[in-house]
Amino acid sequence: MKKVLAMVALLGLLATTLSANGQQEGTQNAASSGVDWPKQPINIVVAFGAGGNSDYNTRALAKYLQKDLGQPIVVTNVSGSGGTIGANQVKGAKPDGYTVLCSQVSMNVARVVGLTDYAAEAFEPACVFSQGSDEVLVANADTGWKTYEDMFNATIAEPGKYRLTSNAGASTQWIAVALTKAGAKFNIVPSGGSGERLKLLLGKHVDVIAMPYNMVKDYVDKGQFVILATDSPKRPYNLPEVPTLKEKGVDCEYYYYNTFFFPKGTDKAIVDKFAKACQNVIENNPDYAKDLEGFMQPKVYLGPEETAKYYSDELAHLMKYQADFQAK
Amino acid sequence: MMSLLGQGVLTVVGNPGILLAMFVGVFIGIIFGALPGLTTVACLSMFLPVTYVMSQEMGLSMLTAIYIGGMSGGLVSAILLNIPGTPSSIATCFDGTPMAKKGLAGKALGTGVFASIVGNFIGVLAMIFISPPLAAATLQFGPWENFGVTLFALTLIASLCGKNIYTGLLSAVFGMMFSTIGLDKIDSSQRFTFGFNSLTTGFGLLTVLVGMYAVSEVLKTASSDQQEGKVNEDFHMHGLGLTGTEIKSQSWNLLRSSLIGLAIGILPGIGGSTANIIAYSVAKSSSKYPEKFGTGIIDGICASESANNASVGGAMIPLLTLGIPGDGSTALLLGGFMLHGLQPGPLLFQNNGSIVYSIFASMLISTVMMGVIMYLCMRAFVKILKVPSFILIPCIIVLCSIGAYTLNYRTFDIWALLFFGIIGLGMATAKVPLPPFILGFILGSDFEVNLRTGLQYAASDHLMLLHRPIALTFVVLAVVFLVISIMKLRAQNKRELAMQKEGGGAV
Amino acid sequence: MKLNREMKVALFFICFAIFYLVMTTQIQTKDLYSTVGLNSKSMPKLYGVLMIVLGVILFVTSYLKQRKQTAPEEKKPVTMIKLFGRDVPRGKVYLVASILLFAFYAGTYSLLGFVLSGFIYLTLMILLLTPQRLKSRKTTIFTALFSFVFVYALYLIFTRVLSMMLPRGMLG
Repeated sequence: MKKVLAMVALLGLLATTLSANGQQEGTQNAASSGVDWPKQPINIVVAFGAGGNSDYNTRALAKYLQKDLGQPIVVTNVSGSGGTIGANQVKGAKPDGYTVLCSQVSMNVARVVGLTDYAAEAFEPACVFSQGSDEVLVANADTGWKTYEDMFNATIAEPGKYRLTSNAGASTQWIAVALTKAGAKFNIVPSGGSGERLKLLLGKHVDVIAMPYNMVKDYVDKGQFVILATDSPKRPYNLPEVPTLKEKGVDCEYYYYNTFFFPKGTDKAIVDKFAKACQNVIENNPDYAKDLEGFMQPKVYLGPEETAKYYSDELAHLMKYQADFQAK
Repeated sequence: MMSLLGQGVLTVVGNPGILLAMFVGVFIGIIFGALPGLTTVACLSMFLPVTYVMSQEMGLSMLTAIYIGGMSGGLVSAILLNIPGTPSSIATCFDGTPMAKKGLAGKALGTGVFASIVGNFIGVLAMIFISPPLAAATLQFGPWENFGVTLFALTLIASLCGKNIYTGLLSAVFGMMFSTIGLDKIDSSQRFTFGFNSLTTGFGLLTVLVGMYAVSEVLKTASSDQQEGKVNEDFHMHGLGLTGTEIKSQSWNLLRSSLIGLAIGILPGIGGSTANIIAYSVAKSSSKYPEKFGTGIIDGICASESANNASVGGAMIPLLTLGIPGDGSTALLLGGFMLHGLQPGPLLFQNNGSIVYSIFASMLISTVMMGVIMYLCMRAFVKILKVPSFILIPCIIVLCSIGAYTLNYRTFDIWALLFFGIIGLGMATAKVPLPPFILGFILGSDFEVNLRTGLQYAASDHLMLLHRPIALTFVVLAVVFLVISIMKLRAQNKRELAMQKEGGGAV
Repeated sequence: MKLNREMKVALFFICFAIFYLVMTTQIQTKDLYSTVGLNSKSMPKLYGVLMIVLGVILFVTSYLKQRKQTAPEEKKPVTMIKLFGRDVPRGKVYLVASILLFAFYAGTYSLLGFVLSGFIYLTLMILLLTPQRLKSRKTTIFTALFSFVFVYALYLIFTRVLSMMLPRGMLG
């Protein structure tokens, strides 16, 4: 018995030292095996909850991708804190090509808000592989607003009367920051996720929300909601008549570009091979195209260099408003 | 409508593939629900990809079957091991475990399954027949209304406090304090994170529960002097578990608890996992014999299990009619619908009516399947009590750790299990009740978020609460309930004092 | 004044609340939803103060109760074991041992991998809890075998069937 106890004590002491070592080890090993990859299952870490846009897009692509790559792809969700928990995990993972992160604009927002001190440059960006349904600003039809100007003027006429939802540390905060800069006088209120926002607008608890188009399409078709603008950089392919915020002089533009990132130090050949495989599915696979149609999403692909540039440009743009985001 | 439902039933029954998928779904759901540390959400996210390759009807039937199975499975470990299999079965422990200790494990399980079936049917039938008005009612709930409900739920803690109300309340505040760890849900400023990124998400309910119930159990067993662990051979397994008269006496309790579960399930933004505790507290406070609660009576199990199962149908209502997911499970179901090219929302019934009705039908059939599987497996479940605890408990810990790890694939959550295990043991040793802590932990963030959001909504209108009748009603209810509990407590104290005086020098 | 259990509980919570309130002052608040409302410090402050108030009430009431009735708290006989030549209560030693064992498990989870660290934890934990009369070389071997099979089976089920990632550890 005494032996067991002594061993237990020893092991317990070892534990702390070992776990500390383990964390350091992850960042060092820079293993590379050239193009003889993949030889084991690939783990894609989605930095957001299961069932969300990034999640089902990753899973839809992974379904075809694993056939092309010849190895199973395991999608895991590591969500929380604006995607920073998952990003942190992949950042510290072994750069052997078997751990991939899926993140989006939240990575830059987290950096601007100060949740992280890094963004895309701390990874090897592989590719932008899909774009979440365009986000639109919608109001309840009962407000009588038809256009962006109607809304804008209403907030000027009665400052603070109309409520706009914005989540601190999330992309929707950009909209609130930019609209306020542009002179709109909203009462900016916090809200939960997109489902919660939808409920608040339906119940007329708030007046304007930002929502992915596919989640409000039915309400717009029924005439219950009005689309005022989109925060996408360009007019959406399926909503050519909706103006962008940019056109209206509001300095806010982003896409929900679902993007794959490898840990820094991953062999360039692996990153390229992975990106190529994604590109092949996106551009040539008819079944995948059908899936996208169901999601009401356009085909999107950006290669490694374009992806890196997109993210650094967006970050530079956001950094201009860092003080407004942090509001300390 | 009935003909549509009939067609749905025919679609499901006429397709053995769908029936098989549902059977597998219910079974796997029960297993995941029963294993502490593994939840319905984990199970759904694992099977979501599997359903890709299936037809719409088959895939979605399987997912809802998992949801139903998972909600019921939790009662098994709650009763047999005193560890809630899922957060939805916390209150099932309160009376289930004492019953099992008395050698009534079989009866307790039977009661739980019976209540689950009743709850499920009430929830699903409400979903099928009165979705639209219920969904419309949901929309009335903004932050102030949610605040009112949360406040009311918080006052229910008073009935969970045990003998000393102050230790109970301290436990609740302790739990609320833990709910403040991590990023502030309103403005995302960091609170009590001590510079650790891992702490920014705060502690998950699952790690708290598993730590406080399962890990603390292993520590307790280790530190106790009696390590034998008596094995009960008598399980009292007869028929449904409940006698006819018992069913009759519980009918009002079952109905009320199901309605509570239904209501909480419908309201997005109010922790669905509180349904069972709230129903339990209400049953206790309105009972003629509240002192018997916690000693192993069927009332407690009926309340808890009918409420959590009714919340399934409830949560499906805003999902299907409005496209609003209320909790983790329905968020995953939303993903499942999207993957199958369906957009839940106001036009779902018009555009895809036949599929909706086959889902309705499959949920009814899944409920029956759940009941059959549970009753058949009960004999196997109770066998687990024959495994000596010194083997069983460590095995459960290993299993729990997998569940905690796969929450976010990090060892932080395993450390968290140990942390809450130690806290749980400390509280048990000091005789500080756990349930108020858990309820405080769950409701703490809802309370804060809704209050602060409400104040922001109000802006300069300081009396906004008064213009919101639903919210005001709940606040008044909360105050009334609080006053009644205090009066009851005083009366009880007086009685005790009187008894002491009578006893005189005998003490 | 002798401290009874409830008074100790009260003191613990009061101390904890003070610590909590001190940490609350370090929260950096933001001014996002500016005009009205509470900030991220408000609720923690409320909880902290509430806990102190409740703690004081608990302390006072249990002190008054104690004065009225002086029922001595029962003392159960404690099993002692010899450890490093000294008598120590067995329960405490086992408690510390099982905490350390769990810490070892958590600490080596990703380094050694689930199978190895789970196997070590499970074997030692079962051995620790096994009643004295059942202990023998045979049961030890059986325990180790059982633990390995159990852990390995779990590993296979979760990684192969349910396709979840569990750490494989350095043994691959």
